[in-house]
Amino acid sequence: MSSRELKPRLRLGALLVLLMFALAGGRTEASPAAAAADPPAVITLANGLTVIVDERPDALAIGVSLAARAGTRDDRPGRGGEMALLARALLGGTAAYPSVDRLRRPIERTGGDLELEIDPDLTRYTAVVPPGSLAVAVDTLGAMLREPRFGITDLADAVEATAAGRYSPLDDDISAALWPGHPAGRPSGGTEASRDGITYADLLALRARAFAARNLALAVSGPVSAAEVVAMAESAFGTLPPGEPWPVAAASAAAPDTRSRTFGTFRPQATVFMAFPTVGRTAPDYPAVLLLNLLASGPDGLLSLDVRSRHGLARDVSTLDLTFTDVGALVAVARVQPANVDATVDRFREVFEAIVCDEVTEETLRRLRERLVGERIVERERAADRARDLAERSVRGEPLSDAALLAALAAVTPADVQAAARRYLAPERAIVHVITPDARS
Amino acid sequence: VALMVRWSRRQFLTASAALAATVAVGHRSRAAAQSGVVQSTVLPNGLTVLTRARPGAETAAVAVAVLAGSRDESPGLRGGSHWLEHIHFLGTSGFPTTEALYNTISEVGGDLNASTSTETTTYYVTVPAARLSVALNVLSEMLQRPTFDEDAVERERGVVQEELRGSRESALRTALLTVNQRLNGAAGQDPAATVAEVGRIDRANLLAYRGARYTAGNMAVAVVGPVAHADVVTLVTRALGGLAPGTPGARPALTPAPGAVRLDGETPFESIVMVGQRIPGLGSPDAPALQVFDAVLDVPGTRMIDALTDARVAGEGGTSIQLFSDVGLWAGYAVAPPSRAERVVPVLKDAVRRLQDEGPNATEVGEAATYLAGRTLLAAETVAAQAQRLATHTLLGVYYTEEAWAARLAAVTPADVRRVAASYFDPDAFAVLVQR
Repeated sequence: MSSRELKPRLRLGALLVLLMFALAGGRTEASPAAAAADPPAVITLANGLTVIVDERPDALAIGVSLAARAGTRDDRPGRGGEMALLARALLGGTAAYPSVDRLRRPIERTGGDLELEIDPDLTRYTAVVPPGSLAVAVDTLGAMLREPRFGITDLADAVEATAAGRYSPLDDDISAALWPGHPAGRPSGGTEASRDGITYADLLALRARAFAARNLALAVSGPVSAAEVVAMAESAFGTLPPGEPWPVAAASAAAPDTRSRTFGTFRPQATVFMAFPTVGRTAPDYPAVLLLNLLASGPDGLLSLDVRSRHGLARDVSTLDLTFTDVGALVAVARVQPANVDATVDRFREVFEAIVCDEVTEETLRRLRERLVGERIVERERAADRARDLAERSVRGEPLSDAALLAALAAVTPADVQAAARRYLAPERAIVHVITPDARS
Repeated sequence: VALMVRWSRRQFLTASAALAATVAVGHRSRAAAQSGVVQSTVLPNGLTVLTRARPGAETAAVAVAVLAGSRDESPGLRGGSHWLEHIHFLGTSGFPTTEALYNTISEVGGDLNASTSTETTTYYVTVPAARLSVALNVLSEMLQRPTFDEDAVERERGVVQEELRGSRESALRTALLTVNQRLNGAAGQDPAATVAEVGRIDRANLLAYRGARYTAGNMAVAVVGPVAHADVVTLVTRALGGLAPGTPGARPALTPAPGAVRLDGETPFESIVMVGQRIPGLGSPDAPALQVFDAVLDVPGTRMIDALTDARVAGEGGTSIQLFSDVGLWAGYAVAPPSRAERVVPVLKDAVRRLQDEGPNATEVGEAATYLAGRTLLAAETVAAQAQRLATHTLLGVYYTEEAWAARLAAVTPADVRRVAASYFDPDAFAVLVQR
């Protein structure tokens, strides 16, 4: 019942930068029996910026998301980390709000928050504010793009933050093992040498390309009107140069590096990862892989039922679904006592072998589809999630509704899922990484 | 998933009676009410059914609050409310395992969870709106037909203890718990309790406690989403109309607040210095002004940290406020080198005295109120958060809609803050805790 206990200090509020490992895919608008939501309004400003407005009159929050079709995959050779560095540097402040903290302060004063997320494909800034504070969020994002301070101190801070990274070495290590030779397999924050090679002129050029109006989408979800959003967007972003959409460059990954790796930790518990490279969101197999992931994941997924419930090896079993444009992966994760590491790896292998060998019934598929539809409704409840989802779809060039994906899912047969399991979850493709206190030197 | 309760004649009569008792717009057609409208019906068994219409939502949430929190636990039952919460997930007649319960919800894409606080235990589910009956079905089973297998219940005691061992309480939070319990007695008891306390609970006593507390008169069900109140009353009557009536459980009276107390302790790290004051709770008309008072001092205000740094006694510090239904706790704190610990206490007290003497300015109050109002709305963004608040606060008699609470915060004036500072705070009588 406490209204509040210990409070974070605003000025110490850390910038949340997440490497998006979540499935950022299409989501459904309504379950079959739910009232159909009005489709969002889509407006293109004169400079080419796409503005999407999802009017929800009775929502208690406004989500504002600005997405750019530029991510860590767009770092040039020898310049690894430049997109992450640029994204952070833009948060360094503006003429009016000359620091990271001051830039965020107008949003935080409303009780709201601002987050930056970057992955191989996309960069997004997403704010959440209470009703009535739309202008604060839009103005902050607009000023950030129009008039970033880009001072030497901001850049030094951004370099330091990128180097320290919220990207753990293990994440980078798994990515490297999953997708050798592919941009998604490179260290997301670059290396010290690659960051040293980035010049001020490089960043300005990258900014001009990545944050041009036609390479961006602004999405707003909440108790707002399309007219007010468009007016504010025009004022905040109307002077951005049009630029060009930045297409995703074709790339392919080599065979996965399946050598097992062990890392040390000072935490008392161990973490077991078993990862399989799958496919990206544009692949024909994507719908089948989506259902396959669902079969393995969740509290009632095969992994959790076996490792946690049946064998009691771990209290926490989950899966990470890393899906980008042209590469993807299914990663099983278990937090276990160090003594249970080997047994957990064995169980993971058994479960994935069973998924490959056992037949999937039509009834199982029906239930998985229903779960997927329901999860997407529940996951898209928050204004920030809805806005982010719409902005992402727009810059990816995907439909804003799930109709096409749902049709594709409906067409998936048990044989398709079986074939995908054999293709992607074969035992010889498994990558096993373990973090354990036993490995500390 | 099959409905596990048949629509018997008795239940039909019960439902009819309930519908007749529906207040406000209970006789309206079964269209969802205007957004934000709260409606209430008390079923014949005493169960309170609440709805808040959110016609634009695609999800619906159900929260069942039980007036069974740590403040209701006798000394031999410390931690019992939390253990009870856990064992309701062990299986039921219709869903014999934990997995079966979770599967039923996750198969429709929903979430099932529960929480135990000082005042209540709350079970809640979020589902796509069209699956509301699935949520009620599972909650009905958990609350009316739990199997409570003896071995499983005992194993779960170990799970709770393991949770407690694994949780790393910060020194600051431990200090807050110490001050809260000293000032507010049972009302300040930590819902988690200790490993040893959970180990001492007699299982038969725990189930007797459940029998007394988990009754219809001691519970409230809230549904938030694109729902019609009459439909919800029908569904809840089917699902939970069979709960034993019971009566609202009495709570131990608040113990008198102690005067100035000293609560020293040890820490291997830097000293935690804390001053604390018992204050009124959410039921007080001054609750919004008390929240603003606190926010003027710390977040978004900076008075407290400024005072500490200006006096060069600590570089880290702030304030904390916890409002329960009938009582609350305010605390000011700092983390300081042990050599400066005693010099911190007068600085913390003087920050309050200055507010009493001079009052805050309009800008400070405006910024604090805006921030708190925004946090109130954003914290209640999901239907699950709204349903939990509706159920628990109604049960405790302190419910305001999020919008109404935000409006009350916005109406707080500098004079209000100065008045509550003078009325409820006595720095000379603060409880003082120094850990070094």
